[in-house]
Amino acid sequence: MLFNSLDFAVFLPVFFTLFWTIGNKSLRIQNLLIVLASYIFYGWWDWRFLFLILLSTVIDYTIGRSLQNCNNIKQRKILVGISLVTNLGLLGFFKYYNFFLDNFISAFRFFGQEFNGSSLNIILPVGISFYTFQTLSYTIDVYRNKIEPATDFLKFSAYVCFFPQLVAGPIERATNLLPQFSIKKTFDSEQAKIGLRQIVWGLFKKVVIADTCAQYANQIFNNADSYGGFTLFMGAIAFTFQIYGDFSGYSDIAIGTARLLNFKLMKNFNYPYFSRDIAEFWRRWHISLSTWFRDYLYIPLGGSRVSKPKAIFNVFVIFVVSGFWHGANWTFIFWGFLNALYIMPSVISGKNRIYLDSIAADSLFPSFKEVLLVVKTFLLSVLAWIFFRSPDLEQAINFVSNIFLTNWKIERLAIERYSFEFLPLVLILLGIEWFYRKKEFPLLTDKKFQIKTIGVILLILLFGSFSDLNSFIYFQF
Amino acid sequence: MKSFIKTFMLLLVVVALVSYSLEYIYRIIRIKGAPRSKVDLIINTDYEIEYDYIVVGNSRANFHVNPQQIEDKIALNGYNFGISGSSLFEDRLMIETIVRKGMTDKILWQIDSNHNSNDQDEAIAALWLPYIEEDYIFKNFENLEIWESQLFRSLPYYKYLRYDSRIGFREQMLSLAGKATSSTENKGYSKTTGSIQDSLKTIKYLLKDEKNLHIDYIIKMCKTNNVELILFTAPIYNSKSDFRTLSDLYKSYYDYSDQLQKSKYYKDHTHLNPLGAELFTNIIINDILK
Repeated sequence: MLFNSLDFAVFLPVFFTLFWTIGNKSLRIQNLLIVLASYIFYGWWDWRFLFLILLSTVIDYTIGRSLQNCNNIKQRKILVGISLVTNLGLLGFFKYYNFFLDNFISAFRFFGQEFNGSSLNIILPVGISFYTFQTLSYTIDVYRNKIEPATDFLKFSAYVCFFPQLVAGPIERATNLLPQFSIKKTFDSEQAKIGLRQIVWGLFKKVVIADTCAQYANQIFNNADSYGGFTLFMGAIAFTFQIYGDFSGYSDIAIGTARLLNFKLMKNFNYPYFSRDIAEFWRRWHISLSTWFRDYLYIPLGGSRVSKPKAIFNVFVIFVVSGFWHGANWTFIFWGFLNALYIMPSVISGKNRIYLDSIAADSLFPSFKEVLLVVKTFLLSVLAWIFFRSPDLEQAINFVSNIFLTNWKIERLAIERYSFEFLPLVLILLGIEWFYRKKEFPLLTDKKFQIKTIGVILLILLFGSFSDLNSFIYFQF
Repeated sequence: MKSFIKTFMLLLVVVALVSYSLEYIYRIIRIKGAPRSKVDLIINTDYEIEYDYIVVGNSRANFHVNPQQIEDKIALNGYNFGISGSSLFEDRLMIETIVRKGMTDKILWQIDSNHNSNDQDEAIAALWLPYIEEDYIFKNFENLEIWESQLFRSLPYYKYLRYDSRIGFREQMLSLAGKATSSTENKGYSKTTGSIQDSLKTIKYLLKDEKNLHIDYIIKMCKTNNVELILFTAPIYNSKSDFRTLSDLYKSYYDYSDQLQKSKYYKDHTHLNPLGAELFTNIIINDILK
């Protein structure tokens, strides 16, 4: 079920009403309603894959319980190993089987050998990367004795399949989310109003910004050979805002929906395009994934408290794995590698944590130096997004080289629009975000008559597109 | 809870009021503004002249038959209502509108592999949604079992939200500014550009041996209203398809799929360039219109 669909517009109020009426009777009913609603929410897309979520839930719940009763280090390692192998095995099969097979065949052919293997027509279960990482974090934290294992299967199920963040995050840690299913929820009017406004803001980013930019980005990337440098550059800018509006919009709707039920999810985006360097960008973009990799991969590898060459290696590992997490394609791996290259100077010089505060913290406008730093960081991310969006590396390289090597002229696209027509909406977004950059999201507070929220609703009604043709990009990951 | 419900209701009322207002404003712009598609043109024009013929279909009609060339050669007045991307469902809506308005007594309809499908093309069907209050348009959508048909008709502004890029704000503003779409110029004929290289690639369509729902409906409708309906398949480069199925199914059918077999006449395998279109228009003149 898509957050921007009519189905969800019916589903959410119905669930909200049930949760705060029938669910008000006991915690168990609340959790039961969440599990049922989450399975309906997920099954709306394809009910057959519900068994994968159930399998993941059963395995990690059982392993969590077993870890509780096991003090033998070797046995504990075996148990956590089973969880890792099962979860990553499922992820690997559904997401990476064909990728590895194709690359094996190519590698064998390169050495003059024939390797027979047939590709499978595998459907990628929506959100598998998200819920796999979420359940893994639980098992690893139990193994590390950071949390007590869940003793109630219903609560644990609710944690794994909680519908607001099931298919595209934020990837919650058990330490934050799991305990919230142990406390009976009471309605908090203020939280619910904030949640409502956050849904409106997320919807604006999705249906106004992302879906408008998508029309231009899709047209330009799908016909890149036909366009000149300026149009290609506009296409890259359009995709840069498409992916931001799409993913951060989804996160806002997820967090807002959870707030309606008085759940608190972690922040996933923090105005990333106002970052002054790439390190800051990665502290502000997809925070739940970045911190996941930091806690469960980077730090176990030794983090930065190792020799310089090892630290550099660790950074490359994190970014390349992060790229691969996004999809089974060399373009994602290169995107990760490119970001690792970007961040390398600050890692080597030890200056990767110099921008921890908000830009222009004490003034309305940034300094000239800050503007230059933001523009530089933004353009670097635009370049990286070209690799992320392109179907293969060859086309990505052609796209980049054609930006510089072909004419910069204003062209009319085949969709009967000029390539830059999306820019006014992007400027509206940037203006609003700049003004409210110190708040969690721009509509966090509003006056009694919700003037700001009504303004954003007007923008949604005027410029929003609710077509099914525009699914959320991150669902495919 | 009371405070939350008050806020929620306030926002809901705002959404309802704005939706009603925008539905009304857009409706007026659609009627009085410049046409942004051939659908706007045909719905909002009171045709005082009767065309000698009208061409209908997808891009393979739109790019291939030039009414101005026909007028110059044999003094017949026609119009090309072909729309790129149109499926037979949208063609049916177009032809039904033409017949209801009594615009001509001869319709040329380009069909090919789209014969296999009864489905709508969502992006093109959206162009008809602003006019879904018209009973016959609504019934067409309803007959296709498009579940949202009733919502499109009765929920104000819903259609514009669903298909903003096709009929929403931008299109309304351009219509208001008097900027008609170029697709209505040149008597509806659109030129393609470029030509393909010689290619070994072949096009092979497998056609279902059963009547298409929409064609069947239109044939009956034209017969009732004494409108001559001619079906044809435009040329295809390196076609290996067998369109005899269509000849067997429909009486007035012309198969030109294997005409003009030189790459210099094509933009791509299924679309003629202006040179090819000129030759093909001559074929239409000689075979059908003279």
